[in-house]
Amino acid sequence: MNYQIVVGLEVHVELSTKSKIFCSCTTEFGGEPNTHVCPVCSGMPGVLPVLNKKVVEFAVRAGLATNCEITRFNKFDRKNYFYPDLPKAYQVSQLYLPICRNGKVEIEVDGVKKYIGIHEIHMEEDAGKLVHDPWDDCTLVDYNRCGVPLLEIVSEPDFRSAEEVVAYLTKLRETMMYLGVSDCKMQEGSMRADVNISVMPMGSTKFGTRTEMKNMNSFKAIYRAIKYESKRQIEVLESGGVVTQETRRWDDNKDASFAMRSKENAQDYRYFPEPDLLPIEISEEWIENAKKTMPELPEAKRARYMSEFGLSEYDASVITAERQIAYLFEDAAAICGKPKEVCNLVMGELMRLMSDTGTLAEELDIDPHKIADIIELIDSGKINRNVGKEVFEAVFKENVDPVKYVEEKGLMMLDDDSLVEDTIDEVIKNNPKSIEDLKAGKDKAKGFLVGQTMKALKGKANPQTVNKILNEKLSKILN
Amino acid sequence: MSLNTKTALEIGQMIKNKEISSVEATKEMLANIKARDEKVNAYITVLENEAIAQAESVQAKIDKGELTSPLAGVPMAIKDNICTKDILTTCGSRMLYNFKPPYNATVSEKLEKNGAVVLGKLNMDEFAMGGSTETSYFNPTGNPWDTARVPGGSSGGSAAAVAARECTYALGSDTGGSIRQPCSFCGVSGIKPTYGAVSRYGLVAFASSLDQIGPIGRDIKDCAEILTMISGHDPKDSTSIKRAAFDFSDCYDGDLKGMKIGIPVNYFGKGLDEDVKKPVLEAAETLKKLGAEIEEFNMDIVDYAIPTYYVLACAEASSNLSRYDGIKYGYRRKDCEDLLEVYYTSRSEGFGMEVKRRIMLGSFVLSSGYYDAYYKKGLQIRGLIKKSFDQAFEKYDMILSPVAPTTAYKIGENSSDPLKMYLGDIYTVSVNLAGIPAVSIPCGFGKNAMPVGLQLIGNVFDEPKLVKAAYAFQKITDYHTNIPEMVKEGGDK
Amino acid sequence: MTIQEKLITYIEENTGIELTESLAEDVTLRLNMILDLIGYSEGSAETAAESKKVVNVAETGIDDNLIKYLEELSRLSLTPEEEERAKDDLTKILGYIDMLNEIDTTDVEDMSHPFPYTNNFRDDEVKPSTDRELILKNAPQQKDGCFKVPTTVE
Repeated sequence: MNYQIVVGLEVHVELSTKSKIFCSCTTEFGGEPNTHVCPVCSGMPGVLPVLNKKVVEFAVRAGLATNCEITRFNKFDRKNYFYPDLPKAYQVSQLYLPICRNGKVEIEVDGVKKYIGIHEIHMEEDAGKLVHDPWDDCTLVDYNRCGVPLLEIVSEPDFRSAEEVVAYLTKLRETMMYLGVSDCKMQEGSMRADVNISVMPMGSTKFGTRTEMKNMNSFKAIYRAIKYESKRQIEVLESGGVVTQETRRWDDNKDASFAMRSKENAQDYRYFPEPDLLPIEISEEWIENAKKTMPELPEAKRARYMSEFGLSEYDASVITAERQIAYLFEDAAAICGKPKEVCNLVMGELMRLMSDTGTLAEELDIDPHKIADIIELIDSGKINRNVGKEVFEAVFKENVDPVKYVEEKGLMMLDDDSLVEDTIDEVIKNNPKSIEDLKAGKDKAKGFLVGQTMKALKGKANPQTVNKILNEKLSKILN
Repeated sequence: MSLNTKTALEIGQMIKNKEISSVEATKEMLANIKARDEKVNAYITVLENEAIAQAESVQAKIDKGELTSPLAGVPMAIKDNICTKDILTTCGSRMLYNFKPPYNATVSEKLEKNGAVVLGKLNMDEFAMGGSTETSYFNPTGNPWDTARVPGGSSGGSAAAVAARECTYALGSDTGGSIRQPCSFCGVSGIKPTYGAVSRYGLVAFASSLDQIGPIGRDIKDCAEILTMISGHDPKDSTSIKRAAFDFSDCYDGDLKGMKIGIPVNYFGKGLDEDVKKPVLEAAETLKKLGAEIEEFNMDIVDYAIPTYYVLACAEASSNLSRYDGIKYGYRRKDCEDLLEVYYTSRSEGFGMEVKRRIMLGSFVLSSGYYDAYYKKGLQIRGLIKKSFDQAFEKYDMILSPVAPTTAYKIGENSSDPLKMYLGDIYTVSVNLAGIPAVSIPCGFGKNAMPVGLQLIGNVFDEPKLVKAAYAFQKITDYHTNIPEMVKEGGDK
Repeated sequence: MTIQEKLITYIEENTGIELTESLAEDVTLRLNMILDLIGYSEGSAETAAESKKVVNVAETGIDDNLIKYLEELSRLSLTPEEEERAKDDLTKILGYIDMLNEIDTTDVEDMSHPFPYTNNFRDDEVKPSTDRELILKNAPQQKDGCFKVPTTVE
């Protein structure tokens, strides 16, 4: 029998707010254990939460970008369960009235476009971290991550392949990063996805029993986990068994998933409205304002780069893949008015340097004016392209000022033709063999003479000038 | 000098007039504690040295003119579910037997700012769950009028300490009557403020949507002054309300002309002791003499207040008390093999039976399959109760009722029947469900010579109206100035 | 066993004919269409059973299974005597609470907050966290700046 894979996703993204969702502790990643903690986020008796407004603003922005309806009157609920990483023994989340509902995101796989439905987006708080201490055979609890704001983006079970899932996640990640809502770093856990997978006979309308997969920390792992789990379920069904509804943990090293303890499967979260927080009312004005200040999303940017700047589809998509690079490109292009030149520099030098030095886009700290300056220097013939690359590298690595750098290092082209003439005379005199070769019709020798001249002038001569003068001299000698 | 007959405001004035120093007042209260608390057991923690040191520093500030609050230098005490920095805050539970909060409740901060001298922390029903202070891990409190009887609860320690003059005033908390009912049992005055009037930050939560901190004092004027001091919007409490401060200055003319008071007849039916009914109805007559218009009306929906209250309060409590897991603070059984053992043993040994019962009831009404039938239904009926109060306040300035169906009963008399205990909250819980204010003031004595309280219930933020009526009543009656035998001169011996 | 499997077994047992895989698939598909029409979904039978249970609790009281379940949800373990008492008490209390059903609450809104206030926010500002020493001060066990618990397997 042929089977159809059905997948739904619950994606968590950590929001890029400065402070936590219900207290003023920093959300900064890392830090010594329990140093980003206060009575509120460590769940001391008697403390109360106060909602960070930015979290609501980010949620509205994310909802609008994924075509959701914004719930004008929404509320927080408590999700009750015991675990050491959850100091209050309840997570403040949204069940009954989540902030966003009924959205959709367009994806494209192998040229086929389709919509993935967004069931809801809700706001919630993150839990802490447990570290196993093998020496002491105990577990250590760190609450630094407790109360870091999250959005949970719940899709409809609309995916029919692992490829669609990856396309959706890529799009979602890009969108959230452009919105400034999250940095979506899978490695740091600021973007995580739980995957619900089931299979059903091809053509059926009734979904099979699903399992939930956790613990994938890259898109690649998610892809592999879906392939693995769907295959496992099909094998179970084919051998006459039934799929049990359970939560499974993906082990990327073993390339396999394992059922989690059954205790954690049957949960009764006893949700109820959080009495310590007031409901949230989102006005028309608020939404209008959010729409007005919404940044341009990557898809729109790509289209604009192609039509407005004449970039190729490939270049446009590489440049827009990371928000910081797109902004750097746009700003530099606007300053110097030469988008194609900026594009070449970004696609060539910037990408190379980033990959050589392992620099991430969010770590870039380049003033677009400096890029514009370099383009100006090349375009006005003051430096040649190779020197331009050298200057860019210095900007990238040492944040130098391009104009000053060129001056101080003496990289400026010579505009003294007599010096070039004298040098060429000298080169011709010192290389009689080359002249002989030229006379014998070996044209390659001319390149050698140009090279020697450039070398003598330490590369600062304008190659066109060198060529022109050399040609004049040679034509005299050869004729 | 004996401060037995003085109110907190009078003592505050005496300190300003240099008739007595804050240290002297504090020492007298400490002496009273020493003499009487063995019998009363109102205190869980007495801060003897700390209180004297605080009185000295407050007195210095008063002398320099830095502290001008009417209650500056006056010694008081705090219910043990209100967090006090580095001072034991047990909630009357073994679970928090050693808990010293690293922070202050907002009300504790306000007390400090106003120069209050804190004598100690007061006994209470465990996690404020109870109406008799018998569920405290630190033994029951006795009623100063008859120490074989309960002081009421859950703020039983607070009311008993004020009645026994072991402090001049106290803070309590009221989730379903926990300020008003012990005031009634101990013959003192108290206010359950409008929900959101006083910050809950640092009040260890029982039922978050019902809890309010409030004052307990010798008379209503003291209570109004204390409420002024502790109320106001707090950015740390999302449910505290932004509004102008209370102004009680127009409340003390003793004239009730034009005031309309409603009496819900169904509050005076079956289940109400004659001992209580008589003085409460007489109090209505007294208010009439003072110029108020009294009218009877019906409010049937409040008959459903108790079941609604227990569904909602226990649900919230089951969640609020989940954080006591033996990991971060409080009681933990030693040498647990695994995590589940930490949870089960710490919670089973740390909580008393009443708390466990309510946690389980709360877990039940929220559990899968029962939420709609119990919790959601409760929320809906809560709305209906609020609506019927709204309708009553369209006609009346306030509602008059008993506080509790009986006077203080004997210790152990009711403790074996939880449902009977719950029914004792019949006149008080609807006020918390509706989020409105109410006062409890002494209005007489039963045949057993135990005090009886009168409840006046007002509309949202109508505390000034309630204080005005209560003040007028106290101006021409002396129930509130009566003192228990043990407090009388030589009564200690 | 799923409802689809039950039906196939039923057909097989009553006709004596073993269905081929494609026939079984056909039966499944047709049944699914019917189930869709009547709005059946997996688990709805359990929910129905549970709502029946709700009525039962008020009438029949709290049984051993339910009390054990509540203990588990609450992370409490009662002694057998305490369990008996809790069963009695809770049954009595729930019987009393049952009077709420006398009131028709159709179209009545929930009141989870006493007043209709909304939108209490704080600005996204970082303030210093509490000293770790103070956070850990009350911990029954701590190690290396962390709360310490017995090994917790995930």
